[in-house]
Amino acid sequence: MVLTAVDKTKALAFDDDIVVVERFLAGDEAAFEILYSRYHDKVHAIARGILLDAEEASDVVQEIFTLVLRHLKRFDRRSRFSTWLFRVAVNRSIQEARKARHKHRHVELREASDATVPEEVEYSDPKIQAAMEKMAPNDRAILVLFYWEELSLNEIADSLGCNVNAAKTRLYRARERFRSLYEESES
Amino acid sequence: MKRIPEEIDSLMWGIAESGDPSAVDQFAVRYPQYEAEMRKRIALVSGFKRAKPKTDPVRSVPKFSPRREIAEPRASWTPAAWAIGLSLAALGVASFTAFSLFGPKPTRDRPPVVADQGNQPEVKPWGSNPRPDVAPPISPVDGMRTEPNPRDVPPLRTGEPAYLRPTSVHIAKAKLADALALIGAQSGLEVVVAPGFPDVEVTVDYDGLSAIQILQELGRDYGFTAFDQGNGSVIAVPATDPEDGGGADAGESEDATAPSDLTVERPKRNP
Repeated sequence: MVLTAVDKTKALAFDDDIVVVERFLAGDEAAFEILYSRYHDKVHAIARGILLDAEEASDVVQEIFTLVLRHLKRFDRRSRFSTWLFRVAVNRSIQEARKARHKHRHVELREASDATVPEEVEYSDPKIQAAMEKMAPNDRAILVLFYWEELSLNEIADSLGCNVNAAKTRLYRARERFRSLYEESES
Repeated sequence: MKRIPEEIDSLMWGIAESGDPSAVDQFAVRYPQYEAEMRKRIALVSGFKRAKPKTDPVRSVPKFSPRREIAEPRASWTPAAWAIGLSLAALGVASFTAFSLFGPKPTRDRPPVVADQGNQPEVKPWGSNPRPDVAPPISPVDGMRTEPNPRDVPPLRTGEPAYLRPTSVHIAKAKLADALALIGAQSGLEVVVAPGFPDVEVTVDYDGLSAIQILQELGRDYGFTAFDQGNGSVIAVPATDPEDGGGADAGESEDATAPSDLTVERPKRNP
């Protein structure tokens, strides 16, 4: 993809990560370690919020950064690096959460009482945990990005690969579902 | 509880997310009927925000260990895509089968034929398709590709004219003049019959002789001379019988009507 000089200047002006990305693409492999350590915790929080499992989230974070390492050449620099990274993180985490959901259902059907219980995220409010567990992974993702990572609707739209209005609608629906599930668990 | 109007619902979420106490108070003054709902939302949002897992500041970031194999998302196959794929596969199999059964067979090499520059149609060896990108014609009857029957191929042309090539003539009980005309027509030879030709009924039965040789043989038998003009024409001149008062002596070998430079032989009649 060819970027105009203006596009590139804009991206560089707002995103320090681009410099590190350019260094990595120029052959400086240590530059990737900088990106990894800079974003590990954020990516882990996103994965953990979507997966509701700290151990599984740690595993997925390694996969996410492997994908980033593999496909960094595809980063078009039109958005911030962090937004692109979160998009990879959200997609990968949702994918894993769907798989895990299927796995959990399978385990429940077999009534495997001796199955190892995953290290789940401990919420201060058990009602929040109960409501989150009942939500779909993509609804969890948008709530995590908005309330935990405090991304703007523009950034969420970029991270989810949709426009701002769609992001707004999805946030509204996810919030309503959460409220409904939370109130259910209250009663 | 009545359904909350959309704009108020949106306003409540905005105030709850901002966490601004003065905004909450102002809302409560303006919409007292929604104050309880407003408080619930504030609790919900703040509770959710507090639920964010805390990262241990002491814990160091684990070392990055790239994964060798990651199941990357694959393109989902819709039923339409499956249908198209199966159709293409079926079409491929059908084409292969049809080509195998009805396709052109390997051409056999045959020696080329040297054709002269005459007017007859040019005959080329089978398999020497002038346009290799065009398939041989398909028979409209059964759809099978056909090779021409060797009997249907026109006679191969050589440098020798037809009237010099050996042929067979079998004519029973015909007028001599008609028999000569028939032989000429069959061999492509122009036969000119001079006046005074004997009007006799003849039977002609020759094999392995050229048309000119046959005419000469007939001349010996029926009393005329066939003069080959060398250009595909023959002049048949009757021999003069001295007894008929033709003006020539019995011992003369020269016919009065024959060209002066030609020798006319006495015809040998069949018994």
